[in-house]
Amino acid sequence: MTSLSLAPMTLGDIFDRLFKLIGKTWLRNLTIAAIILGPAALIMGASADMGFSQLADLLESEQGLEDVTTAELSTFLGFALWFAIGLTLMVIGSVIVTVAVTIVGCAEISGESLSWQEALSRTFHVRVVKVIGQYILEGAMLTAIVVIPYALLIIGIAADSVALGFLGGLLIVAAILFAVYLGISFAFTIPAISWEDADVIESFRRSWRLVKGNWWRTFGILILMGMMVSFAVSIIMTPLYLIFLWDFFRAYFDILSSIEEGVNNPAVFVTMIKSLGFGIGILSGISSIIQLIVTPLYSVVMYFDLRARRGEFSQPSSGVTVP
Amino acid sequence: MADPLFEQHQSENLDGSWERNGRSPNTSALLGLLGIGVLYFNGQSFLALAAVGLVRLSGGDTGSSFDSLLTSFQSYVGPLRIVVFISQFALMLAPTLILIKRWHSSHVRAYVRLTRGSLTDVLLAVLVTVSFLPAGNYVAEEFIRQLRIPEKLMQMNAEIFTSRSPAEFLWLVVVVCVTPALCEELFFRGYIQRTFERTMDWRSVILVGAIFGLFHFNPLGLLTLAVLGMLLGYFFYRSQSILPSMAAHFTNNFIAVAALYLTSDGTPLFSAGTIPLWLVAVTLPVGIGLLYLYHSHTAFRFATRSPHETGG
Repeated sequence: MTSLSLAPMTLGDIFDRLFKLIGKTWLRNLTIAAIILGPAALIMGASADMGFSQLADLLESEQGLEDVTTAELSTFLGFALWFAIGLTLMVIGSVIVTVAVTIVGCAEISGESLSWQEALSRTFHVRVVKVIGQYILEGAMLTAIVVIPYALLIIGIAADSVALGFLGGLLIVAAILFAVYLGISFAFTIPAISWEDADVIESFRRSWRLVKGNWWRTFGILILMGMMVSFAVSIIMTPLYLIFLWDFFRAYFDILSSIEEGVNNPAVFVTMIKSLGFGIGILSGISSIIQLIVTPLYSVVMYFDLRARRGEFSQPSSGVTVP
Repeated sequence: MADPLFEQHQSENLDGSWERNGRSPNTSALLGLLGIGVLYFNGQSFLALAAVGLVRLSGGDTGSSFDSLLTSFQSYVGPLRIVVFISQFALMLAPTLILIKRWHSSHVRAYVRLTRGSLTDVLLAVLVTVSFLPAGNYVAEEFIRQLRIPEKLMQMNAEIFTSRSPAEFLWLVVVVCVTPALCEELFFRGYIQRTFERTMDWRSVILVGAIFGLFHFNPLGLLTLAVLGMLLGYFFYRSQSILPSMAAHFTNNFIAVAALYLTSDGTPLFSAGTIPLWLVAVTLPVGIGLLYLYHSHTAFRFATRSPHETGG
């Protein structure tokens, strides 16, 4: 039992604690997310912009897409490579930010106030490698669970076997339900690695034990929180889409007008494609940053609640002390 | 020295579970905003899909050109209005009242400030809203002009507010004017702003106004809606009554519905066309002057509000 004093939380307590935690840590978490994901978003935006511009120039040129030269193709592939690098950096960056924000949140609940530099330093100290390993292992496991019955269904269709196809269909439904079951049971592997420095396999065991007996409750709260975060992000992102994709939407409406007037204007289509690139990169970066400064924190609060339910903390003498 | 939180609980009958557990009012406001938001938008989308599906099953058609799309959209408008009416009451107002009663106070009317207000406050709020309307519409029209949205598309967008008979006009007044004035005001002002106000005081007017704009998921109207939200919030904040903001909200929507009422020859009742800049130049200073009058008129009531309302 640790020295931390924490009682099991009601749903209201969980939300109260979560919003207070967000309020206390958002600036540090935003700094972490901006430092790690900002460059990746810029690379993605710039490469997408150059790629779309190149594509638009090809469409605009008289030669069209049929007679693309090797030089043009290699330039285009170069931009695609940069985009892939940006995307990879974004994925790895998301893992780093998830771990760092989890550490900040766990520390805050435990009464320790970590700076963003300290959080990042702890993140890079082995933990992030473990989390990447955990992501790969969990991803492979969940994919395999769904892919095997899917393959059966395809084989059934190819072999014209109704029975095999039906069995495959049933197994897909069962596999999806099983994948959801496992996904919830392993929802606390990241806090286990980030805060307890558990190994990858140990983190699976730890999360499984924490969720055991509280699966439906955990499932309900995680779904509710996920929906609320998605809603909040979509509220914030809607005007940003208009701002960053202003030229794209303008060209899109021009196309609608020209279709209605029966006029074919390929130049507008080229403008539309050209104006897509940078906005998309920046928007995906902003969206990821907003998601990542909130999402790991609700796992953190739930993680501490489940630990309190397993009697890992001493009970507070009166009331609940909220950080 | 007495505990201010205890005093606030005593004087406002804050006897709900949230209050008894000493949780943050800001968390309640955020949770209510997001929870009811998720419920309202998802529920409304589901009901709208069901309504459109039913129309399609009963032989509704879609087309590829704007004209045929407009014609087919007209067949969905009736069911969609019913969906808006039901979802505003069932998915916005009902959860709001339930949350207030369970979490905050058994005296719901007092909490949302549904109290008898001054008639002058209500009249001034209506006049301010009317005066600001041309400026708001001018800005929205400018966005539409800059973005070069096809007129037919805007026509389709306006179809839900368009009426062609007195009976349809009356139903539209109920759905588009009365319902949001009741449901949205009780949700945004009566619950969200009222709850934020307890810790944020005047800043809640700006915050909830901006949220009101964002909540409409209409980026072109964001600026206008956010300013309208702040105006409505200001009426609520200063008068300590929800009636002025309800009346102002009703007026704002009523003018839009009345402007789109089509007479028997198919022309709008008020053929306003585009808003001329001179009208904005005239009405905006008038609106600011009236707002100052509202500010002065509510000064005594605002100054003599109970100490716990000051946010300090």
